[in-house]
Formats: sequence, C-alpha cells, structure tokens
Amino acid sequence: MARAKPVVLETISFDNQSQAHAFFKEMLNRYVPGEIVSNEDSIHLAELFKRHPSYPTKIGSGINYFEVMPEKFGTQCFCAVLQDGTKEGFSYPKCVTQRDD
Amino acid sequence: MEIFEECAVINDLLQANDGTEARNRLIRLLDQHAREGIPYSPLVNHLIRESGLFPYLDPETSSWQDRFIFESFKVDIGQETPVTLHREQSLVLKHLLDGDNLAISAPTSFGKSLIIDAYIAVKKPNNVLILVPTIALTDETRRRLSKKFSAEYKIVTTTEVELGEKNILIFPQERGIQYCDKIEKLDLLVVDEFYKASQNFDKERSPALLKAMMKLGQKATQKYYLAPNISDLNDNPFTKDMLFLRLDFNTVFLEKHELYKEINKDAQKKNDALLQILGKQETKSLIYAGTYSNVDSVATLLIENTEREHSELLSAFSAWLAANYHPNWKLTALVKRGVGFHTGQLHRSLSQIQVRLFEEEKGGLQTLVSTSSIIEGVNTSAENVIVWSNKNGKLKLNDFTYRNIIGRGGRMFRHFVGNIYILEEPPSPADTQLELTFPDELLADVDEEQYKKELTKEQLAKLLQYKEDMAQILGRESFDRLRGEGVLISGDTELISEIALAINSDKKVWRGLATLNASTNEYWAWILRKVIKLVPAGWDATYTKFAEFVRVMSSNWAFSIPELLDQLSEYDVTIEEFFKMERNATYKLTALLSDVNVIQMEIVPEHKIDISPFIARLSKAFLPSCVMELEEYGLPRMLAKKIHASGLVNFEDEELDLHSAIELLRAIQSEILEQVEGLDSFDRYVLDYFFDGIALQKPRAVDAPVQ
Repeated sequence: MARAKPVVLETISFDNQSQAHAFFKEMLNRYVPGEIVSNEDSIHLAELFKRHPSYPTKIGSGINYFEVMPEKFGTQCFCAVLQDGTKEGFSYPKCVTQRDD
Repeated sequence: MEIFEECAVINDLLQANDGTEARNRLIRLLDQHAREGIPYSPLVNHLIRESGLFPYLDPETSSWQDRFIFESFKVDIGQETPVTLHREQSLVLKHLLDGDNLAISAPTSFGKSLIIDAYIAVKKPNNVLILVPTIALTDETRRRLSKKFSAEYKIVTTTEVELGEKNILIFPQERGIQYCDKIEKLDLLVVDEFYKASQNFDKERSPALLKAMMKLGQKATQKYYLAPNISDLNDNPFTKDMLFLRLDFNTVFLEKHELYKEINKDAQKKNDALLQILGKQETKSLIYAGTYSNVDSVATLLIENTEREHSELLSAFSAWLAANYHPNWKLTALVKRGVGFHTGQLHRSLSQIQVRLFEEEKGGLQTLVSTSSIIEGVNTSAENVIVWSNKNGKLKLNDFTYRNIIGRGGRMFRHFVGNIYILEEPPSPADTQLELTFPDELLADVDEEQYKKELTKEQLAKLLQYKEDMAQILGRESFDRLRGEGVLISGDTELISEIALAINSDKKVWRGLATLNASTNEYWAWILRKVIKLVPAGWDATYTKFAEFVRVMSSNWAFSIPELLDQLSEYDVTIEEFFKMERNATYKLTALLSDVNVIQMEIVPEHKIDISPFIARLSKAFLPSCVMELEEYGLPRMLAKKIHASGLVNFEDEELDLHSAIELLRAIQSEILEQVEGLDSFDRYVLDYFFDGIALQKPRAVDAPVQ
C-alpha cells in the first residue's frame, strides 16, 4: 500500500494530499470570481502557493493579495494579484501535488 | 383614353354605388392629367368631389359649389395653412371631436396620422400619448409634431423626462409603460399599428403593448387606435367600448404587374426581371426581400450587375460608412450604386440616414432593399414596390403583411399610381380578424379579481401557482410589495419564477453580480453567462460570444466601431452581429438584469449588492449622458464624439440630460459647423438632418394674437 504523503505548510499541516485538496477546494468554492480572498484564508493560501512548481516565475514583483478568477467551462481558480497589478492564476491541486502536469 | 368617356364611366359607377371602382378609375385619370400636364375640367373636379377625394380638387378650375366643399373640409393641422381632408378622414375626425373612442382600420395611403395632428390643433388637449412600434417611427412622429406643436407642447420621446404643463409623449410600448405612474390623466391615447398587440403579429413584443394599452388606457379619457387592413375585431378587454370603423378608402391606385406567372419560380428569370424593372425606372423603388439572407442576395446581385451612380453625396456616404462601420461591408459598395438596405438589425441612425437619402429628389438613393422593417418601422413610400419574395422571415408572407407591403406604393400628392411588381406568387386574399387575448406573459402583472372573466382557467391556475411559489421563495409580504410597486419589468410568471428559483437555490453565485460594479470589466463575462442562461434563447449568439461582446462594448465611447470589431476578432463578430448584440444588450439584457437585481436584493439582502448603476450604463450601450438618446434624434455617436473632442459640449457630464443637450446644441449650431475638427461632407449632411429635426416651431400666423 502506498504511504500517504503529508502536506506540511508553515501555517497548517495535512496528513495526506486528499485532505489538503479538500481543504482548499472548500476554500475556493466559498468565493465567486472577482472576490478577494480573506486575510484568514490568504495566510494558508500564500503558503500553499509556495509549493507551485512555477512559483519562482509566477510571483514576479511580489504578491499583493489573492482573489478568485474565472476559468474555462464556468469553473474558477485562485489568482495572485502582484504588486505591479498583473494577475497570475494558479491551480491549487498543482500546489498540493507539486506536479506540473 | 378619352377623358370625357372615362368621366362618363366613372359617373356610371358612382351612380351604381360602386365607389371603390369609381375612385380607382378616377385616380388613374388624375394620374393621366398629371403626366400630360392637363388641367382638371369642372367635370373632373365634380367627380373628385363625388368620390370624396376632396384634397385633390383644384379650386382654380372647379365650380363654386365644388370650391365650397374644398374650403369646407379644410382643417387646422398645426401647420402654416389648413389642409382639406377627404370625406372619410373628416368622418374619423368628427368622431374624435365628439369624444368617441375609435379603433380604425384604413389603408396605408388613408392619412390616419394627419387626423391626430388635426385633433391636437383643434381640441388643444393637455396630454396626448402616442404609442408607436419602433424608435424610428418615434423619431419620425416627433419630427412631424415638433414642427407643428413644439411651441405649445413639450414633446417627450425618452424615459425619465420631467413633464411640462402640456405634453405630447411619443414612445414604443416598453417606454410608455414606464410613464404609467407619472401621468395622472391622458386626454388622448393613440396606438399606432395596434394590430401588433396580437400575438399573431408580434409574438415577442405584443405582451408589452397590451400591458401599455391596459395601464395607459385606464388613464385615458379618449382612445384612438389605428391599423391597416383589419376586417374585424374580436371582443376583448383591450378595445372594450371602442367603436371599430373599417374604412377601405384608398387615395392612390396600385397597378399590379404579376410577373411571377411568367417567371414561374425560375431564379434566373427573376433576377433578370428585377434588373430590367430597375433599369427602366427613373423613379424610386422599394424591394421587399423578406429575409436577411434575401436582402444579402439582392444586394450582391445589384452590386454585380449595376453601374455606379455619379453622385457626390453617395460617394461621401460610402466613404463615411467605411470609416465609421467597416470598410468591407457590403453596404459601402451598394450605396455607390444608388441602393441602400433597410432591416431591423441596422443601427437606427443608419436606417434614418438611408430613408432620408431615399427621400432626396436628386443625388440620393434610388432603391431600398428591405425586410418587413420598411413596413413596420418607417412611413416611407415609393412609386414602385417590387415584391421579390413571398417570405417573411422563416414563414410564408400572409395576406395582411403583403397588403401592407404593397400599400407602400404611391403616396397622396406625390404619385397617384403605385406600380407593384410581383416576382413571387402572392398569398391568397384573406380577411384578417384581429384577435386580442390575454397572453401568459402578462399574468404576473394582472389582478386576477379584475380580469377574472378574461383569463382562461389554465391562466388562472397558473397565476395562483405563481403567487404561491413566489410567496414561498420571497415571503408573502415581499412578494406583495414587489407586485404593488410594479418594479419587475417582465410580466412572464415563468421567467420571474425561474429567476427567483435560480437565485434561491445557489445564493453564493449571485455575489458575482458585484463584479459588474467593479472598475474593471475582466470578470463580467462569468456572471453575465449565468444571467443570460436564465433566458436560453434569442440572444443571436453563443453565451460566451454575447458576454464578451458586452465586455468589449463597455469601451463604446473610447473606441470606434471598427476598433471594437477588431477587439472582438477572436469571436468573429460581423458588423450585422454587432448591431444585433448591441440591441439585445441594451434592451433584453437590461430588462433581465433589472429583474434579477430586484429579486436578488429581496432574497439575499445580506450581499448588499445593487447593480442599478451597471444596468443604467448598459441601457445606454455604455455611452455617456444622453449620447444614446441623441442617436434617436439623428445624431450618431461618432458625431457626438467629434463635438465632444472639440470641447463645445461635454457629453461626459452626467448631469447633461437630453433636453438641455438639445437646447445647447441648437444654440451653438453655427459654432459646431465652424469649429468641430474633422467634419467631412457627409458628417455635415447628417448634422443638417439632425438640426432640422430639433429646430424650434416657427410662429404661425393663425396663432398671432388678435389686435
């Protein structure tokens, strides 16, 4: 049996990826596109974002705040709004698995 | 034709009480007189009198008895000199002046509208409201009445205008409804083309017309409804207690050329016939093509087979179209050949300009190719009407519409005889009984106690169900309050229930409406798609394309139409689609969003979202202050932009309302013409038309105080 991979963030830890996935899915679905992610949620989201495989290139001038943006087919994703105003959408499942595929 | 012999025949027909045939032969005889420059003899004048066609009498050559009739039937219609009415017009006016409520059916050339002018001039009522089916007719009616009555009356054609002491209000039904609560009493309610209240003639907009007739009718002391070619009217709550008059009194004769028999559905023969008819005409022709694709086919045929006209005006128009709309648009090539097209899809300023060019005696358009928009939207006519198709959209042309189309042939005092060329087999003659019934789409608006008798059992059941459902979702108090305030635009119980259910079942999603008030438009499309899906059909585009269009349209003031089309290139938006979507956005989406907004504020007040500011901007196609309304007056947005850029008028001042803008523009007319940069010759032509339409009424000798 494959061993569960824990997801350990600075602010919160999960025993396995499924738990982390569920936590951030629930967070994402509390918002609709255009809404700014609350400070409370942003603390965990900022930590999760660091796990994204393209994190170094995505953060550019630094993160100002997070919001939710629309994705294809009526779905939505998190988005980092950078200091220079540009927006970087990112997939929370990719941050959980750290796989760029 | 020997004139005396023909007079004898006409006289015999009159003696035999065959007034219609006598009149038809007389009109043809008058046409012969006009073509050959023959003055009317006293005998001809006498026959004119006997036929009731009094306006055609020539007082110079008639006997004193006939001259007396000519003078006796003269009436003030608000212009410099009074005009003589024909016998049947006079009858209608008499009924109106007696205070009767009238629904009349009379042919196109009858002169039904003139009677309104006479009524206003004679009876001087305080408030008259005229419902017309289109914005184009609103403007046409406004122009006519402004010239006659603007010194005494405030002429109102748009919403949210403060009323004056005496008002003439001219609206399409949707706007008329908005004035129901603002007007205490109407002296006269006029409904032009009231057959459109029947679902058989206008499925989409008839409920709104019935609603306007119902609500405004309750405030009207007197009613005057007009339609062509109706044989009978059913018993119905909307025309209850009205006198129905069917007046088959024509003032022009229609000469029919039944070419379809020879053409026998052969496409090539039909093309040849059209080119031949147009080739030999020096007079104006209207081509009824029936569908958008047929308009396109006829346009292609004419571009490929006709020569360019030597007209500076038309060359300037073509260049203007290329610069302001699209360089590769078919219309730019077509107008160089003296041909325009008129469809319900066009920007209204473009339709207006083309009708104006069509009415120019020299240098303008000789031919207009149209769908049924030409019979519904404007009052133009031509010496020749060519019925190219026997279709009306997807359906076969019915006899009622066919008769309205050919009724565009000929016009009193311009051409006695209209030539009708029929290239496809026309519908069989049929009597049209107008059925006005309560549509389901009005149910949300009616009090079932008041209209119990008129509603069917199914409708009563549906209404009760609706009230129960809505009370459950909104709470009875909220629902009753909304109904009482009349804040919901749609009267469609199914749609209103659908919106309430959708919001109630997933409240979170509707927080997305807040993005519509945001300073950026990047997330609009997401929530707009959710809103549009509530009404699945009739957007003329996919949800994504339409939502993207709305987003791009928000830059309407900053960018030209070619630039906006460029921004939409990913979605392959044609100029025709642009027109359609702009119309859908400013009317249909505005109405839907307004109902969504009202209902979401009731169901989820904790969201604290009110998108009224967005709705107001959308309804104006995101153009500032009164720019959109000025388009209805004949000032297209590209000219408003140029005037704004010159600094002469600040259209971005949101305090600038329509009537103060018109006053300002009228006052600085010469500065505009001298100082605005980049005005080309066609801009000046359009400006001339606009200023003509806002000119103040000249003082009349008849109004001068008696010393």
